[in-house]
Amino acid sequence: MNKLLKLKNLSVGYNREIVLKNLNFFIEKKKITVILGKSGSGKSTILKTIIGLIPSITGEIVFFDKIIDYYSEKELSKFYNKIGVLFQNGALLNSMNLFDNIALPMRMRFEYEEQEIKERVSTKLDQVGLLKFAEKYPAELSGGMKKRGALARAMILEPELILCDEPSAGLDPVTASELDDLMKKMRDELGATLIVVTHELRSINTIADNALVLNEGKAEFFGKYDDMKNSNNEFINKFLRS
Amino acid sequence: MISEKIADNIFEKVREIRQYMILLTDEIFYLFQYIFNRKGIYPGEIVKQFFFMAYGSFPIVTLISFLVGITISITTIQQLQLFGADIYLADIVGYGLIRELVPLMTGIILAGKIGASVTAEIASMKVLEEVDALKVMGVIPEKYLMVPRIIGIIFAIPFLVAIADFIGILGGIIVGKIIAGIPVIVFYNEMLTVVGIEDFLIGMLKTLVFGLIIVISSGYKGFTVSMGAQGVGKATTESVVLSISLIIIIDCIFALLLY
Ligand SMILES: Nc1ncnc2c1ncn2[C@@H]1O[C@H](COP(=O)(O)OP(=O)(O)O)[C@@H](O)[C@H]1O
Ligand SMILES: [Mg+2]
Repeated sequence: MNKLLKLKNLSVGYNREIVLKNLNFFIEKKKITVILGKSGSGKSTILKTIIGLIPSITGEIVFFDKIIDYYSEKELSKFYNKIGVLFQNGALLNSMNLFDNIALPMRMRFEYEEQEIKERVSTKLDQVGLLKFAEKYPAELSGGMKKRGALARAMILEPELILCDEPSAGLDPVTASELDDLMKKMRDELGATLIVVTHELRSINTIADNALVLNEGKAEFFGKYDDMKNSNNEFINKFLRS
Repeated sequence: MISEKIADNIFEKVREIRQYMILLTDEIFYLFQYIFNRKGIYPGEIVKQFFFMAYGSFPIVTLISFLVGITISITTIQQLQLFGADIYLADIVGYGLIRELVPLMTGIILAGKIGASVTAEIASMKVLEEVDALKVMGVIPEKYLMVPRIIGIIFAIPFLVAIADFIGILGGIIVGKIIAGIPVIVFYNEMLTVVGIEDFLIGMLKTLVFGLIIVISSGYKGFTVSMGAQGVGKATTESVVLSISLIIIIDCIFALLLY
């Protein structure tokens, strides 16, 4: 099996409270792994630890068979070139319009011609259905539009790994299922690997290849989503029936 | 235990000072790094910040220095007239404004105006995860957000100080002319006997240091904002208080050094 990311003995906490306890799991290449769990169970914390915003207490994270050294600016910057992140609230920069937001990774990191930036940003905006809104500022967009915009920004450099924190929370069912389609498209057409934190059962059913279920900082289940569906673990069943 | 609490507080303060110094040295590094390779900052951002700082603060700085020029002139001229020494108004106003009052007043006004807005902006970006988003896009937030503001204030200050000096002294000239009948040219010539170009430059340098203190303090309070709804407001207030306190402390050190 092809593992893009391996998390070994991961423990993470804030101040003195430990949130994740000795987690072990991996992320399969070109698959969508969903992370499930009650709110406050540490799902966002996992994503933030992977992207180096929170230091882990113990354990290591292996990316492409190499332990990520979060203290090396050079290593980290190489890692960031290969990932895209959709934050829980989108986190578009409020000071610039949608077009410039999505162009930002291209403008800041590499020296692209303005013409190429324009083409690529327009293509991505079109894919998320926001081409008409390129000139709008984030404050002028609805919650769902912000998230789709943020997804376009996460995809702009066609990263190998995309991390999404509750992409469909607070969205109407139609927009939510459009986002699901988009994520499947990234997997199937671009060969991207995705980690998706989500609550929506409908979404999980359509996108999940693998699943990690968190319960009080521990992995209650980790494996193929199909196996999870057939599991007779009580906690998991409660989850799937809710 | 009370003693433990005091010790905790002291450790906390020391930790904060250390964090502040780290940010300060990082910013100096990023500033020079930018000067040499011109990377890591959004195009056009420096000009935008300069205009916001210079143009945005110019009316209030002008107004306040004019009023301060008039006020100290009226206050002093009464004393001077007791000794028939009216003409020395020019020395006091010129020297006092250029060396002390303009730098201090400008610093305090900018702490309220620029400091508050820089802190609010950075703090809300932090709370809304925009700072985290920048980081994972391979951008260094402490450089991307701070260097344009540092360069902006470096260019805005000379402009603001020159205008404030001019307008403040104009206030003195008007009071001298109306109350004591001192002709403009006499006032001007007398002022030049005590005020030289070095005084002007010292005032400018002091204000420049105050400006840098304001931007660094605002960034520090912005980046260390505590999460939650009150975080941004609290950070903004604290940043203004911190800037003004540091400005007054450093002004005092300047006065001792230049005595
Ligand atoms: N910045 C923080 N400081 C302190 N505790 C935090 C912070 N962020 C999250 N936590 C705590 O960590 C736990 C997990 O949070 P989180 O990962 O956001 O959960 P989820 O995303 O699953 O809802 C919660 O108990 C939360 O209170
Ligand atoms: Mg969360």
